[in-house]
Amino acid sequence: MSRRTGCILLLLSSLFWTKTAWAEPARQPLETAEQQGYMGRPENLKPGSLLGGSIAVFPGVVFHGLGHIYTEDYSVALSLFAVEIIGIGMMAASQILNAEYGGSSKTAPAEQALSHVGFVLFMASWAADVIGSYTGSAPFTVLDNQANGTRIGVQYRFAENPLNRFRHHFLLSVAFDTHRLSIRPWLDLEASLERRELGIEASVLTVGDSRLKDNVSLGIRGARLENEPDGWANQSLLGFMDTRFDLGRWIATLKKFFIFNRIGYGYSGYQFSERASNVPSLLQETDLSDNWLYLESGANLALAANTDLSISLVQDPTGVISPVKLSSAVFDTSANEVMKVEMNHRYEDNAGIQVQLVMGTGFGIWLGLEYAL
Amino acid sequence: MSALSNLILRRLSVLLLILSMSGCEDRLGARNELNSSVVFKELSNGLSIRAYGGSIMKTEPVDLLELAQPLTLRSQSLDMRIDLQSRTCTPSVVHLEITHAGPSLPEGQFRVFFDELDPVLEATRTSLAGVTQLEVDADSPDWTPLGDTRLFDLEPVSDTPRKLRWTACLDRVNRYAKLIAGHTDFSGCNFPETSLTASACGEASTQNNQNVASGNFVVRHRVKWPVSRRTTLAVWGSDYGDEINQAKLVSALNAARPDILILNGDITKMGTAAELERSVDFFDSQLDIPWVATLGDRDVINSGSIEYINRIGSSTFAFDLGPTRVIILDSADQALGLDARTQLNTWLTQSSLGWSAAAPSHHLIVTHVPPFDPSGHRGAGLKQRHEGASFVALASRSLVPYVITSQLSDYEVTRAGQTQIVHSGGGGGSGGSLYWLKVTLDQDCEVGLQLPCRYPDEAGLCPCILLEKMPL
Repeated sequence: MSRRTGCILLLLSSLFWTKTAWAEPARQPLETAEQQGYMGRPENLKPGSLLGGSIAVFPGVVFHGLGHIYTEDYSVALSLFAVEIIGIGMMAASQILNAEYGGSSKTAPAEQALSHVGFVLFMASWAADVIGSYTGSAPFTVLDNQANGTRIGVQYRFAENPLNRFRHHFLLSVAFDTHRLSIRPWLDLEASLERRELGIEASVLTVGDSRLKDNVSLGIRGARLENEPDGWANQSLLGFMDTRFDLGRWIATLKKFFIFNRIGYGYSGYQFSERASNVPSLLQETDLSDNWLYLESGANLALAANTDLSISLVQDPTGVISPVKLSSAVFDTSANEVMKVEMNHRYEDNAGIQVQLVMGTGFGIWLGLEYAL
Repeated sequence: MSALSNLILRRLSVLLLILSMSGCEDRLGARNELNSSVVFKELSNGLSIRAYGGSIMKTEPVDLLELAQPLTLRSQSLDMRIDLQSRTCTPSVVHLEITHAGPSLPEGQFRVFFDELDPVLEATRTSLAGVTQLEVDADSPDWTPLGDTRLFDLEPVSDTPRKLRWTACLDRVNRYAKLIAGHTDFSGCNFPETSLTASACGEASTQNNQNVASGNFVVRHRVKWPVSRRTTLAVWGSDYGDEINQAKLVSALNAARPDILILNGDITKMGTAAELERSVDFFDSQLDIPWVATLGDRDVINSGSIEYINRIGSSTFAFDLGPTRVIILDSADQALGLDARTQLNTWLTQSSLGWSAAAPSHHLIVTHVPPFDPSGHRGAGLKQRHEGASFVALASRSLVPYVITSQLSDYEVTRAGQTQIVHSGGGGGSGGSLYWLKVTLDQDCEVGLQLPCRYPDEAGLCPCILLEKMPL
């Protein structure tokens, strides 16, 4: 357990360390900058502190808010500490539910949600303390306007999942985006074509004006997956709700630091073939029905006007990478998740690069290119 | 300086990412290795042992010139095969012991081999193929038999758990093997005189160099318990180490006398070695029938995930009960893994578990975690549903009638293609009902249902199966 905890802490701390490297702000002499219109930091904004950020990393990992105490943001520090305590309390409650009612279908969804949300609150309050005390009150960069129109994308995925033999995958996707509606069909092919998935995701921006700002979206995702070597196929349907909000609403040092969440409920119908190395036909009777919870929570910020970074915890038992006990590394619960880190970079409004890392039982790396038509 | 520090931070972060990704989850692989380690062991003194239907538990190497080599195996079947190999020139005395032997006395058979094929015998066999059938041992076709199959006696020991003991005397130089009931010392083996003098002896070869005498000297043992045409299994799990519930189960089983008990995981609450040891000691000391066990998700939370190998043996294994093959799979990580599914496919499609008998008519799979949870959103099944689908698809097309699981306490049966998934913990660990599952396998079909099977008998019939929930 301690090794897993160490792994997670190492992973997360390494991501924060890269922030300064990726941001690489341009350095100019102050006089030149002032001649070009630089007004300096307004009096009402607090400066960032490298030492404050360092204190927030350690010992701030234990007492969230120490970084903000150093920068004399006492109310924010208290809030962060309160969020940490709430997060720990939720994980502890999840463990109690697991210990007392481990096999109950009534308590298991609550147990998993508590573990998931508690872990996210714990990590988010720590990250907020580190980032907020390091950057001060200066808001993060805001992404350019939401990209609408039609875009095609090509991705390569390497998946090291010890539970199956599929390693190399190629994905082709198309995005049809309007201001409110987004439709994305995709085709996911394993290199030897033994695993094939065809799907479509559609969502509607229900509350808010832009997907890049505070918003609520409702959507649906459907797919057919065929596994030829193992002789099965499935049809799945997932209904979901996406939310995204700016943490800067409550914490002045975290303006444009976004928290996002997806909660969904999925259904799958499985078809089994009588032979191995054979895929059941599309219309064959369903042999087994299944349903599942989808939970994804994470943080997102723009590293530059055209580059953004997200890190999230995903509970999805139908994902490409098998989940593992992440949020339950300290408090043992039945929740299984993967950790996802994603970076998107847009180039001159018509091209994009995507890099995604997913870690669970094994890991996956996505490398993608997108082009606006 | 700033550029340099950025570069260092960037490199460091990549390194940490890689370390994190590669080191966070290897429990599945670790237990596969542990399970493999109890199937075959090579000792530094020139002896090696391979076991089918059981786990090798204790094998401290000793100086064979002075002491007898002790070997302890845990029975995990009713038909064990133990291959004891010697490549040393020293006469060896081996004290063998099988634990968890059950109340009935098995029959012991042994045959002696060199583990390479005699080139003359092989050439003759090739040239006369189709004309006549030369003697080949069906269960070890690549070895050269040095005699006929013979019986040997085993000494039952009224200990807890019940044990069987015998001594194997091996002399590779003189091709001498003698098996004696109980444990005896060097003098009891009556080795030929030449064994005790320093005679010329070639070291055993690891490659086929056309000299059969350079191969390993093998004593193959068969320990087989009688199996009636109607057998009963008891399946139980998820008691979370509750002593009162375990006592109720033991009392019921000692009265009902099924042939074997399968403890299907979660016999501890927090997976500590102390909890596991207590539960194992309890069943060892109180239960009058043989028992085997696999792991549940609770059993691997703490040190039990490693210590189990010294207490219950391999957590993935298979054994035959008459025409039925029972396959026990470790799913404690809420995953099986590709290796385990490949092994499962082998057990479902091939006949041999050490002995080349007829293919079993049908198969039962017993594993703690169900491939799918009937309440899917609860997530108590395998953690990746696609692995669950691959598992069930294999079971279904192999006409496995039942996959018996114990993750969920309350009894429930769901259908998945040709296979029924039985959710049957019964241990009351999470406040569920208290019962054990009685599985009756009847070749005469006086009880139970005749379900389709993969390999029907000559009359086209399959054995009948009856599942009964036995309240405590």
